[in-house]
Amino acid sequence: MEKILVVAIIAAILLSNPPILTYVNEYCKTSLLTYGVPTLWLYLTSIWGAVVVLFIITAALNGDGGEGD
Amino acid sequence: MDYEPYLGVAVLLSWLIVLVAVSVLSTRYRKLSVADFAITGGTLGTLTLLFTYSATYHSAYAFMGTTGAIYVHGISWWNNVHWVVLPPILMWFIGRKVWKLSKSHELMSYGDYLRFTYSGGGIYTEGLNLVASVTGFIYVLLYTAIQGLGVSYLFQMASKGLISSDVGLAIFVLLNAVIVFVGGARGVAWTDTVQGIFMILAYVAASIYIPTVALGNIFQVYSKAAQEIPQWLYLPGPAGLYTPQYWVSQWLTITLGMVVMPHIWLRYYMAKSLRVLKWASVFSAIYMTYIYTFTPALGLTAKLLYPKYPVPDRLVPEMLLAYTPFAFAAVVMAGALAAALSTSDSQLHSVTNILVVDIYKPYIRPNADERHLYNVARIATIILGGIVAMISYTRPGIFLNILAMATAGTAALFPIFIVPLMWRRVTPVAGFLSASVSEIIVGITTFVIKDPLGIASGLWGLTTSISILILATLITRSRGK
Repeated sequence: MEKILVVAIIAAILLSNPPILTYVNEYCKTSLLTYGVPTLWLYLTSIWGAVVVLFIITAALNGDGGEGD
Repeated sequence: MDYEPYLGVAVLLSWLIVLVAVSVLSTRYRKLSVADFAITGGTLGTLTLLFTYSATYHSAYAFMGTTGAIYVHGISWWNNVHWVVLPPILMWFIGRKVWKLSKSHELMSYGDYLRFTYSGGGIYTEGLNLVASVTGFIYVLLYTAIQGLGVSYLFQMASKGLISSDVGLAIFVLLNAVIVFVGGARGVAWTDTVQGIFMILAYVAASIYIPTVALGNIFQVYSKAAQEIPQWLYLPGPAGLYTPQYWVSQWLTITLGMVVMPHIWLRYYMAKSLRVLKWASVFSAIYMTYIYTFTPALGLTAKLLYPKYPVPDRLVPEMLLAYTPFAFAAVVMAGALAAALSTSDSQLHSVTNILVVDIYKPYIRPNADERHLYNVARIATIILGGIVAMISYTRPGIFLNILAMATAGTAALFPIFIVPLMWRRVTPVAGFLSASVSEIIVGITTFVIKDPLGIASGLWGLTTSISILILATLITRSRGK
């Protein structure tokens, strides 16, 4: 499970940084709001919110001994 | 008769009394040992570790600086999401390895860890310890002073002038020293718990209440912002600061720098068990992210209401006094002071720890017993508290310049702390060279050639640090541990 979390973190870093973020930002310039909140804020919060949720699941499934599943 | 100044003083006084009482209560569980003073003897449970980590992490910047940042840079500020989610996760990934070492080898300081992981290097090991400890000491001491300086005016605002800023600063610094003197790490952790709960309630309430009262509701704030200040809603922000280079170097530097800041590092040692460390990490990630949920609305409200405000960091108290009942405003301002104090008391405690455990004990009195070191730590708290007060009152420019290096300088130390956990061949010579040269590079890219190629100085220091650490290790070869 920890490996999935690590992969998710790497994916989140890629999604929330250039060059992908630059393309998303171009979209944000034309669609300033989504569901009534800033599109860029929603995009970044969704990505990292998902990482936090995965962190909770990983912690719940993981033993207390530390590394590994 | 205007009762509001007295109401403000009553709120502040109640807050001070609660903190001192909690600090005194914490002594019921203390032991008169340096391990207890330094790291609570590693006895914290999930709740206290969660709050002492999260409240220490979130300083006065979280409460007021973030609104100022959105006011100036718009939603680009939310680069912040990287350094509220990643450090708690790294607390689990890295902290558990550090915790195990601390339990098995009785580590209780910054320097203890370096002397252990780079052992056997003689003068290079000691040199590395000194470089890391002294730079950490200077950065954090100055940070402590700046915390008080940044919020002392809140005493004046909350009391409507009955308490001046200078008296407020004196109260703030004195309270720091009292908490650390009375309870050591345990007193800090317990008061952080109370303050962590208080600050999140106060801040979230304020960040919902102010936009709602001033502009209708949070969605209306965003809608109005999209119509009137659209450039606040995308990169690089109205000031043009958030270029791709700046975006990456900012989050990387702050995230990694915070992970190895002395006052954060000590918290990895404080957990009672790995289970505690794990759940404190998880709940810290939730706490540190959730606290900012409504911050964008608060910052944009400030921009819409005060288009040309000269000191953006003071907009939160300004809006509180203008748009909310005074009693609410005074309580929230006490919450802002809690945010600053929960960071600065941990910082004062960590510099005391460095001074006593990393400098006094190994170099001045190697044979000192526990009781002697405990007393020296308490005396050091008073002396360092005095130095913090002196720095705060004189506001010398040179200190502010050094402070500009703080996060970048600690980010440069990140590889030195973390690489030995994954690569045991790393050598003391490499560690010493890496720490020394990278700190020089941070100094040059902060003051001489500022942020070359638009890349922040911390990233230059970090790149230098990791490169030298690997290259010098390959050249010098470890004799093994």
